[in-house]
Amino acid sequence: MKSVLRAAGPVFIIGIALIAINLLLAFLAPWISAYDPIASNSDAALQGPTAAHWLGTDMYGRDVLSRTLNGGRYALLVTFLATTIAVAAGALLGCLVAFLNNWIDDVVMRVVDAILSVPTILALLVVVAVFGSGMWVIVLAVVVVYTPAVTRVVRGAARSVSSLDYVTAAKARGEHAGPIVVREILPNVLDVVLVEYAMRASWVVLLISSLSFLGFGANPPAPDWGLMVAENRTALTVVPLATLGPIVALATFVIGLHLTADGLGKKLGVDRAMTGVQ
Amino acid sequence: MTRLIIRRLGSAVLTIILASLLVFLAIQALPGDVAQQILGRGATQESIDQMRSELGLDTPVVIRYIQWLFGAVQGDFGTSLVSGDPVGPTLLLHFRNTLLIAIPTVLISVTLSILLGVFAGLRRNKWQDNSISLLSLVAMSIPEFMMGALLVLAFAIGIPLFPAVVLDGPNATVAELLPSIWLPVIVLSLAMAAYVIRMTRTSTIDVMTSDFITTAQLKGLRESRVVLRHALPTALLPTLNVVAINIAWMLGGVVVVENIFNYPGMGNLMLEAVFNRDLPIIEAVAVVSATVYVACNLLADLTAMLLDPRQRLAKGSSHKAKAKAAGSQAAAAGEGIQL
Amino acid sequence: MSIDASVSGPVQAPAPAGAAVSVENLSISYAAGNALVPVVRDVSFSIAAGRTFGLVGESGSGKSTVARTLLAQLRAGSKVIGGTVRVGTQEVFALPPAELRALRGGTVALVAQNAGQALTPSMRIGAQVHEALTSHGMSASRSQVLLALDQVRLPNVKDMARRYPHELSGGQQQRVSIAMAIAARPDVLVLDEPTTALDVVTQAAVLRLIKDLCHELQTATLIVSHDLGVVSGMADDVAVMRNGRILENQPTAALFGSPQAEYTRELLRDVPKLKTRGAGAGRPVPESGDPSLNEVLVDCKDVTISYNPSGPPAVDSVNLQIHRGETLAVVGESGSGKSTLAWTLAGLRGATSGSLRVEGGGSGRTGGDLGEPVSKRSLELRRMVQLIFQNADTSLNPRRTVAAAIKRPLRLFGTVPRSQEKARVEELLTEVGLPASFGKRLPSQLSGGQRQRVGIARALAAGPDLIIADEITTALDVSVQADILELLSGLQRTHGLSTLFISHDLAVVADVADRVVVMKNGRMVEVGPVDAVLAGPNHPYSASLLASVIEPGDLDLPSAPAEEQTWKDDPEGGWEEPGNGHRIRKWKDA
Repeated sequence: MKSVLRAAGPVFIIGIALIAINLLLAFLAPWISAYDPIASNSDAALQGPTAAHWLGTDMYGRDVLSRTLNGGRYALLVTFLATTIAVAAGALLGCLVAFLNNWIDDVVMRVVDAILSVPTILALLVVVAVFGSGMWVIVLAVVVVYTPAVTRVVRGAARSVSSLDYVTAAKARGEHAGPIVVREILPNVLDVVLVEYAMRASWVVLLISSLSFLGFGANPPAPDWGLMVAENRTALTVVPLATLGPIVALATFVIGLHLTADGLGKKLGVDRAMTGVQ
Repeated sequence: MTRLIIRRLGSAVLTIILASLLVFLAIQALPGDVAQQILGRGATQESIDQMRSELGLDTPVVIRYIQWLFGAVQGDFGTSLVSGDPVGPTLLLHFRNTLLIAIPTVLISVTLSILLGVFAGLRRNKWQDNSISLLSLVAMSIPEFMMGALLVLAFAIGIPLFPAVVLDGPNATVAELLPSIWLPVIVLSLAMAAYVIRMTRTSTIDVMTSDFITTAQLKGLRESRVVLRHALPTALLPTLNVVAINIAWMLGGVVVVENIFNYPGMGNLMLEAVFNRDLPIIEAVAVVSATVYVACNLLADLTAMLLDPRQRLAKGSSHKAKAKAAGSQAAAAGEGIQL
Repeated sequence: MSIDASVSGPVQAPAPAGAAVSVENLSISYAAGNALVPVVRDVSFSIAAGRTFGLVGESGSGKSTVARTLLAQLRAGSKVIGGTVRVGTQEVFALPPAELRALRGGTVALVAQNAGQALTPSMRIGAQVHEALTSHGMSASRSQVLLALDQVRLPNVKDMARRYPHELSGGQQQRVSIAMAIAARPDVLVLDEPTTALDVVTQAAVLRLIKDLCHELQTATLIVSHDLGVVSGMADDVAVMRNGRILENQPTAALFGSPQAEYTRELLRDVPKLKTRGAGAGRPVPESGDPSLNEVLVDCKDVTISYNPSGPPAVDSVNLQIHRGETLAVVGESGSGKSTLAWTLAGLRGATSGSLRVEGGGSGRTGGDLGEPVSKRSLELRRMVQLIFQNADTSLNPRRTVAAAIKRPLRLFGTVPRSQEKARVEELLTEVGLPASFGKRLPSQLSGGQRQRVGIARALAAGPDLIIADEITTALDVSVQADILELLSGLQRTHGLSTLFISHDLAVVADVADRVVVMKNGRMVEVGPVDAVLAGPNHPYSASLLASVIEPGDLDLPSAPAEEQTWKDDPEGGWEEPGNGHRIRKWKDA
């Protein structure tokens, strides 16, 4: 394990560490936070950092540290679910249409283009407006807007794989599309898929936070990074930590994902941007 | 080549129509009855029915879509359910305002980031490259709403250079809006630059290791000539798609940034329409955004043909297939988070 | 380790005064992690003006690395550990940047292997040649650019100058590279596998051109090739390299006449030879007797295959039979339709018209129609025909073990009961000359030759009647090629297989095949037993193929065969039949 990590390079290790810290803190939040994240206390509103409140309090006197620790739980869970489903579905679909390379490919890619051409945020807002802002609705919405993008990327990589001789050999044996996709193509685009997962997750978590910021995600008084920024940005000059706390948490998580993607890409020889070119 | 362009145009139109159909159908699924919403809770069943037939809601969805499509082609997107004004002029006004921040952003951001990206690629793994890469990574990781808040703190409250938020409505003249565009332009430029820099850097590195660059170097050419004349046209191909998608994203409205600065562009219009369930406006915004997206991509493809003669071949050639694969990769890399 | 290093020691060539190029005790290492891996060890040679020096060796011998040092180019991560490279009086690795630019393209010019990738895709041919002239202070009017293109015998130069690289054929691209290289009248010309990517007829013509130009310009020339024939025909002196060392360095005639190093002798033994081969020296006649008397396994009648309904068909009215136990070779240049025919037989695409009937044979098998693509073939029919690929690197799934690759057809075709699969895999591995323990390995842990053996084992696992071998030795070094060919003919004899052997290399074909089909532009132009075809008379296209072959020991190149087609099909059609199954399509002078 140690040697694997070393081989992956420092960039990858820092990335994984940042992700792990964020996930761990979010998981342990209910046990390690000193205050109830939604308990307001009008006597202690808008305080700077003190021994009792390390990151100070917000306008309702809620402890910023406790809210920051808890604030990732929702976004990270939604990110994990949505990214996993979108990447899995997109990868399978991408490999399949790349292998088929016929009219089905044309139709699917046309629909993919059409969905991609509608602004992501508009699509999300419409879905949320239709079905409300429950967690599974948001997950579904993110899956709907990101599956096409994953499909397109994986299809690009899978096309170059499916023209290789071992796929041809499987075709000549008369294997069906299913086994060829699962046994021959998918394992060989797995590197692309992994890097895609890390990048996609970083966008999804930003997207979820932005939705909350706009008032379409988590509902007050729930602790949530995006929501906290929206609530506290008017008091930016008074209690800057109330805004910076959740932002630093979010930014470190996203940087972690980016670093992991870069490190993975370098290690696996997938330059995300250039797969399929040479 | 002409045939290729015609085919691309055809598929572009198809994509737009398909997108508009998807949005139309999605919006039909919105819960709540539009007629009831307009008339309010106290309306009688008769008046609701009458409203429904006035709005044409009693005709089948397909017919309504076709009617709407015919109107849209002639610039008639119906009337807003909230204000009762025709959608077309409102949309045009907000689109103009969005253009006002998009054009400076694109000019500044694309020029700078291509320069920086190529520079970083040429200085691969040296300190210049490492610092540029690190900065673009940070720019990608800080959410726009934070970047906006920080800039407001620094340049509107700290040093009052620019107004923090726009107080003018959508009808303000260009001159009135001009002072307030700069903070949004900076936020958007940073967000866009990160992706363009990364893409340009990667493709520069890739092209600089290819055989034809070695040949050019071994011909005894100056490095500047090798880069500008031999490497750039090919290195910029993947960047084109990233730029195209970013432009499309900006013209389609940047919800978060416009929201922070209360800027009366397409993004704010979209957000307002979703809050108010103003269906005709949502539809119109979606179609305009899709059109812009498709047009930008088309433009990128045409520019690619200009830069690289291999792109002019009709499909079926391996070059084309490869370039297309590269394009979609690039597209995905550049699409980032579109808010 | 070199075999006879201890006997002869490092070969030192005396550096004559006034040599245009002199390389002395050059050593280059590549940094892999903290370790330095030697790539070139203690190499010395010199080239006088007007002379051509050949470096020959298998992949990984370091020959290309040495060649590129003449332009002071090193691969990233490599560095010179010791020794010097002098061009004229200049020590190339000590030059300041401005003088280095003047050296590159001015004093020393390079022609690289793959002109398709070596020319800038976004620039017109004329502009690239123009630049080669102006960057070294030569005046370059439009007429001088055209003159440079004309000098490399490109047709219609005005039109050529306006074209982009992808609009040229491979041979034309290489001619443009040559025009660029000689534009500034260099003293030294470095040719790095200059014709490896070209068809044999084009290769002969391009080599002829280079040789004439070198003679005319009196350049000191270094030619690097894996092909002993090419070096033999081009060079005055030849050095053989292996593992970064020069094993021997002799005048060409001496080297090929009396090779000193054991390695050189092995190489020469492994090269398939066409001209020195006596009649019937090819593969032994199978035990079952003359295969042409055997029953027909596959019968192709008027087979036409089109990719695109409006263009010319890729395969045009081909009639041929493959007999049981026979090796039928199909020879032709790229684009001749030979691979398309093979892929259709394998079921990867359907035939447009005509019939491809395969007979089931005695054991109650029904046979069927090979004109159908795989999806419409019965399991039995799919089992009967198996493919072996050109590139062993891409024909095995890198994520699956060798055993998994071989087991797949066993399972799919139910060749053996599941309980015996493991034993059968080991048996097959042994049969193709690999240890049974290799089953656990991934393809990346095998050498190119070993991977090709796995490819053969996978084909055998199905228990086929017909094996289609598509250029299976093209990517291999000559010694490995010899082993693979031997393995294949052995297996074929023991299993009574028929083989369709696709190749561009007549010498290889002559070694392995019973009969040969020559294809050009999708049509068969000649068919017959190997000996009959080699003896002639021939169709003019086959004749030009035969004339283009350069073998080790040939001290000159064939007089350039015409690259353009000098014949056309007789409009009345029909075939000449010199007898013994030898048939030649009737033709007329164009």
